[in-house]
Amino acid sequence: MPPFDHVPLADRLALARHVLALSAPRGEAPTPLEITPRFVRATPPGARRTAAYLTLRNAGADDALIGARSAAAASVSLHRSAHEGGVMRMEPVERLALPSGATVELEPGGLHLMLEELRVPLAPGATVAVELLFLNGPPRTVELPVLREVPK
Amino acid sequence: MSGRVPLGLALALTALVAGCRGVPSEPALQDYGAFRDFELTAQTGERFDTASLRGRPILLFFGYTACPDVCPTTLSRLGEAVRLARADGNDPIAVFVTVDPQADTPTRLTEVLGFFEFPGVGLTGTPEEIDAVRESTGIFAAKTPSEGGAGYVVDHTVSVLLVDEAGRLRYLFQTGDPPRLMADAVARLAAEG
Repeated sequence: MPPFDHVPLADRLALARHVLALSAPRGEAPTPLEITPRFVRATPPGARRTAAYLTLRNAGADDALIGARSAAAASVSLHRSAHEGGVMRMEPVERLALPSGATVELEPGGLHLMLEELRVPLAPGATVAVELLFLNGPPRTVELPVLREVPK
Repeated sequence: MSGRVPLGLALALTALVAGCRGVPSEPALQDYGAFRDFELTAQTGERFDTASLRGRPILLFFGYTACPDVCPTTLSRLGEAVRLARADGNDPIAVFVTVDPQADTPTRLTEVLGFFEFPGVGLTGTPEEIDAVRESTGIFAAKTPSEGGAGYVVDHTVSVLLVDEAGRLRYLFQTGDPPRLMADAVARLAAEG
């Protein structure tokens, strides 16, 4: 039996994309999923939590953000600050759909990655690497600057 | 005559220039009635009564320091609003009241508000005191379990309240309202005389 014949077609396609992505030379061919880092909010002394923000632009096939991790925090999870009648609720988001052609903003007061149990306080000027896990595409690591938020 | 500006236009231009430095046209202030003052414990550990602030506009926000997204954003905006208003020649004060009194001790408030260079006072108290203040002010808060580290989040009202010099509730800012709008509201209060 040829290798991978027991693997369902969808998984084989995903695997192929994975291998292609891994073998693609750096700096060639535009990545179908463009990730623009924004920032991680700097934390006060003793803080255990903060939020990370970025923009996802999917020029490829439908995908979804299904998880994230970072060496800076014991847990990283996707949340949405949902606003209703002046009340803000934090809702966990298990899977963030990234349909083909979509741009999704993770920004203050909306979708964000919540970093919990920070290993160290995050001072302005530092950077935090966050690995993003996707349903179809390969994992991607993004470097985010630590900033005090500039109010607008 | 080509060098002369018509009187009406000159007046309009003068008004326009004055308008830039004078009273902003937005936001439209309301009157939601008398603000109910309360006494809690400040970050210094001393008791603090909001009635002692009469004569100054108050920008009041409820939140908690373990909040990762909305509270730090609002604390930053509130601080910037007060700095803008002071640059305009007005003298508001920012007040932060915790909705998580178990975690937000005076020491914790000192650390966090110091980090944000918060231009005002942070207040905490016993859970009963905080509940009473929330009820009299109409602020919702509910501690909700969450999966990650701290184990909880506190869903809560995130509007910023504007209390005027006379102690009346005059405006509710929504999350995302820019610092300039808050500073402009303070300028409009000042223009009321």
